[in-house]
Amino acid sequence: MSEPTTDIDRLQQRLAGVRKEVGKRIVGQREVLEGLLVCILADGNALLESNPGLGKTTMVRTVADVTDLDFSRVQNTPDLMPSDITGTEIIREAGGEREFVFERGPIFANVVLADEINRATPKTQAALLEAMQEKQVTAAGETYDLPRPFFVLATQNPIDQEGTYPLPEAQTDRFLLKLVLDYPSYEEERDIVNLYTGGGSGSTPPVEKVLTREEIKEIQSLVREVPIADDVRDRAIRLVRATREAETVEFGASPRASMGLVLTAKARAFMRGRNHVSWEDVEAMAAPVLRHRILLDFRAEREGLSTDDVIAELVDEV
Amino acid sequence: MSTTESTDDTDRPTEERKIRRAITQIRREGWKVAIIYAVIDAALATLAVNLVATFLGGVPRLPARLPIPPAILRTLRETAGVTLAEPSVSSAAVVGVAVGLLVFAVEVAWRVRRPLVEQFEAANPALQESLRTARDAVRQDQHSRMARRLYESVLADLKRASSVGLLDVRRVVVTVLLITVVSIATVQLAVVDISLAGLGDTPDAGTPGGGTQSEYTGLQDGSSILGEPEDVPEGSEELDATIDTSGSGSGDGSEAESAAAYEDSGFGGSETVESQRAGFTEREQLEDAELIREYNLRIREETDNE
Repeated sequence: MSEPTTDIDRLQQRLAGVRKEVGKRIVGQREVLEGLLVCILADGNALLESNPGLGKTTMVRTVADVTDLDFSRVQNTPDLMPSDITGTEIIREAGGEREFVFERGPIFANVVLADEINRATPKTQAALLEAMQEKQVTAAGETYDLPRPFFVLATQNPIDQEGTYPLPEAQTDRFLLKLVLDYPSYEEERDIVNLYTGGGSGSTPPVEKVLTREEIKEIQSLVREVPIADDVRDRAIRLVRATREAETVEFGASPRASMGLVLTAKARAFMRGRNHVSWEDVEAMAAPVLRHRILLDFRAEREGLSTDDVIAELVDEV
Repeated sequence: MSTTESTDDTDRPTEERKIRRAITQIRREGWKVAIIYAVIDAALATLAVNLVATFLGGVPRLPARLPIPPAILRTLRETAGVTLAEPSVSSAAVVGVAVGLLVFAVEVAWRVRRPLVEQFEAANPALQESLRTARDAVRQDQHSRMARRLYESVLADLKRASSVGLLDVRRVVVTVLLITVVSIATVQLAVVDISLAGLGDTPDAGTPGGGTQSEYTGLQDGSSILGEPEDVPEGSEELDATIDTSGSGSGDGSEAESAAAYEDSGFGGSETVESQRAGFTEREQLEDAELIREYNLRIREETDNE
């Protein structure tokens, strides 16, 4: 094996180590954890939908811990201002002189958890999502680059919708993936209880850092180099286009979804130690990439079809 | 091969060149398999057509034997030194060979209509996606680290893969068995001379006066060629011989004894007896008879002169 190949092997082993370390704190939720890592490797952002108390903050914080990334958390509320997230200029006195200094907001971190993003006002949401998309913040005429790698995990609560500002479709399209965190199984819940209420020094099991920021950036670069067969790529594109033509879909996915589907499939293939994208990768990433980008029409609702059901049908058709 | 693939290979990374060679080799294997199938199917078709045509007594609207073009005869004579005793060939065999060639051409075309590398991929499912991806990457001239890693991986997998999967061994065996069975049936048919050609014809069919001519060219019944048995003249070659009764002459002991017995019986005397032999088989006896006859004539002449 040549030297580059050895390096790639080592990075793939590190990724396996990340999953193992996160598994010390998070019981189950393998698909969500995989989606989270895929999103980081694809240099994207994720929207996480879950009920409260399912460990999403712990999961994201743990991922940040094992990857040597800065972590910050923003609790969105209706009175949250854009500058509370991005930062603002403040007057600082130093040596008898006053000067405007940009005080960086919580968005200046590698991993940002934006809790209950639908509780923030549309103006604050837009500021957050714009920063997320542009990877930079502009304040008082100055542009500040966000640290790299940069990853936002925004959460939504599917219940208790009163007093919320649902994200418009154009904004949700900016999220690479939408992950759905479901309740754990009985056995998993029992293990969670044992893990966090048993003996030991603290409530949180320790984890080791196994991946550096530089290595993450290296992996992000490698992910884009993962070869994909023409027919697999074309089929992925056909799948996204099918969402625009399906009878049960009122609003289909954009070309950004096509790019996202191929890129996340590459990231998944890399994470699984493969050197090429398989159709299996595209299938696995279809629902997370598409579920927040399409709107079902009344026929699907009348038939009791969920977004994931419609996507599964389209995957079978293409 | 595409034009992209035919560009200067020496400028490409080693793995990429190896992948291109491997793909060429896979295509070659695909051709081999297509030809193997086509050859055995063509052989079976040739033998089967020949068998049916023979059983039916010939090919409709074709004479039993077709003349070989002089050009072919000349070529055979000049190149191989072969001179055919009979410059014609059975029409059943000609039609069989023609059908066989047609089957060969059609089957090869049919088997290579689907890209040969895809056939190889289908026969090796474990390699299918990686090989296809590598092919596309090579076509797009990808030299990235991941592409090179993929090339290395595919080359390693190809070393373990086999093109035997392209060949359905059971089908080949069944076809070869059928070829054997049809061959044996063809030989057996020629030996026992079973043919539907004579069924329904008049008894004198096939005879020059019957108005029809049998087109069967295989082994035939001897009596049908030679005709019904009949009496033929035995032939006549009779010689007259005069034998002197004096007993002198032949030197044959038995004849001398019989002559003496004749004289002893009281019928002898000076009278001469003329005997006649009706045929003989041995040349020596004929010469003796001539000698006796000449000798007798001389004796008579001498007696008359006296």
